[in-house]
Amino acid sequence: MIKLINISKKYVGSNIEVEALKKVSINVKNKQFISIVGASGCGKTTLLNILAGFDYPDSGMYLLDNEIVNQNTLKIQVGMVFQEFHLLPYLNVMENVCLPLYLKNKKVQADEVKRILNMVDLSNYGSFFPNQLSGGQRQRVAIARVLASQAKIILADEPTGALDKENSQNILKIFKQLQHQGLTIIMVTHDEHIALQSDYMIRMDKGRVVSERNLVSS
Amino acid sequence: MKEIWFHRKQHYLNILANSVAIFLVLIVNVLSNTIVSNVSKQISSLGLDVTMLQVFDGSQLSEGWFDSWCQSRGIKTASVFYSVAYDDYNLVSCNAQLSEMFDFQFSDGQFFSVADDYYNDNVIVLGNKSHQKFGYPKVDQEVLIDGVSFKVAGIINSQDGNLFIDVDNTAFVPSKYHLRTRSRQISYYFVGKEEGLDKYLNDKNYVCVSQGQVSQATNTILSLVQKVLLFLAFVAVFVSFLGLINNTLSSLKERTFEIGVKKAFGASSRFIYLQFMLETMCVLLISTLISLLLMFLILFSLTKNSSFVIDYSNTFSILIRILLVGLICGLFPAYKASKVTVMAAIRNS
Ligand SMILES: Nc1ncnc2c1ncn2[C@@H]1O[C@H](COP(=O)(O)OP(=O)(O)OP(=O)(O)O)[C@@H](O)[C@H]1O
Ligand SMILES: [Mg+2]
Repeated sequence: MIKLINISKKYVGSNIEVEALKKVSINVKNKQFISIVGASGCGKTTLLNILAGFDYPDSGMYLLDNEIVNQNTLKIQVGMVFQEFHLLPYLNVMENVCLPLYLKNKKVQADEVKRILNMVDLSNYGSFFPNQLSGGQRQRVAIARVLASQAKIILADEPTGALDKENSQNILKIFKQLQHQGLTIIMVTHDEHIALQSDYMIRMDKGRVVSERNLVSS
Repeated sequence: MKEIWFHRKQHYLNILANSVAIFLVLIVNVLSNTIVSNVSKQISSLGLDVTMLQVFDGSQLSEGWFDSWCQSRGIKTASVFYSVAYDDYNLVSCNAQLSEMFDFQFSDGQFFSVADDYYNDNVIVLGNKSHQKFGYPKVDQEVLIDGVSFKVAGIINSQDGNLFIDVDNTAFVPSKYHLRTRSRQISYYFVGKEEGLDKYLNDKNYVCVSQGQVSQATNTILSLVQKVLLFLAFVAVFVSFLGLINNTLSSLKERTFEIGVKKAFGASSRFIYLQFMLETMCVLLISTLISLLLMFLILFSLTKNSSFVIDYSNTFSILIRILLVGLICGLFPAYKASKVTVMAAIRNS
């Protein structure tokens, strides 16, 4: 479904030049739960940002369903879960979740939103504001927001980075559930334990993919 | 909409500054309109068709020059005018036509007649206050001036002074009186209902001053003053709008996160642009409403009886112009906001 071929990205500052990605090629199948691990600074976030269309590669090809990506279709298909949640403080849980719908001028379907909130176990928190929630709850709101955007591919940059073990496991459970419902998930983490629970683990180092490991026998 | 509430602290000062500035424009506009209209109302109430002829040196003119001057121009309504100041009133010698020119209204009696003017110089017409000075004599009673007694012919109602004569404080006697008692050099003449006297302006011997000219000149000066004041008030508005631009631009730093998140979830640049324009518009509208409210409050609390001239369509067009300029001022910050990228937002947070 997603194919990255020889993606390179170089950050050029006034006094520095960092090759964040060096000819990275990865393949993601439909309904796969992929984790990307690697040391800090190896280019994981850069890769996700390119996958999400927030950033652009200097060279290489990004294919989605065998077609070169187009920013508009990308926006519809891909949703990001950030490490720091990135909820809007002045919107309550319900409104944060529905934000993608507002922004795309789509109608909010109450049933659908209810179902999503139920899935992330937040059905009673609709009118809470982000600062009234715990970290784990906030991350679940962030996931609900991606779900509401009806993205087929969920990108998650260290979704458990700010959470304790129990909350991390909750998030993982939700991801697996989503995978069963047919979504594709690409998760960046530096925690091996968490990565091991995915289907497929990609290890990166200094801007390169160094190893890939299938975790499910098929 | 929620953004505006959330960022209200950012907007308070903007709204305050804009309100005060717009209020300035409105109040200047209303006050100057009021002044202009009052002045021009007063001037026009005098009748714009009387022209004063001021002669520089009457001794060079022959005795009957004014009569023949009028005759040669077909002027029927004309009067000589000679004023002597007494302690508390003016004694004016004039012809009977003066009453007609200035449209005097009488509480009793009437102006002396043309016949009086010719044959009988011992009649007097009193203005409202001079009537009081002489101790309220009735018509046909006599008053004494410099040892000469005059029979009262009429008493003029109190009326606004005009540009040339302070009617209330004046007593009018026939021109013969002056000619008999003082020099022949009358230096003022009035000509009524005559157009085109301007062409005699360059005559060496006299200068024409018509009320129309005077009112025109006054209007020109007043509207100049009005324009200057309005301009200053507009400058205040402009400065407050510069503050708005500055404020919005500097708030962009804080709001990069918000914009980035919205873009990450599908907001187009256009959407962000429109959102910022909408915010600017709200700030402007609220400011406008506050300034309007302020204006009405102040106008009505200051003056319960004196009436202000509030030209609504004019006010409206001024407000529209201000709003337009404000919106134009909002374009640049909104453009800047729409150019914020998700990457910038992620990196900054
Ligand atoms: N905007 C930028 N300008 C310059 N260099 C950048 C920029 N963003 C990332 N880099 C550099 O690119 C490299 C990869 O960064 P990236 O954020 O992808 O790492 P990461 O794998 O996500 O690290 P971490 O696990 O700490 O989040 C780093 O060396 C970083 O310094
Ligand atoms: Mg990272």
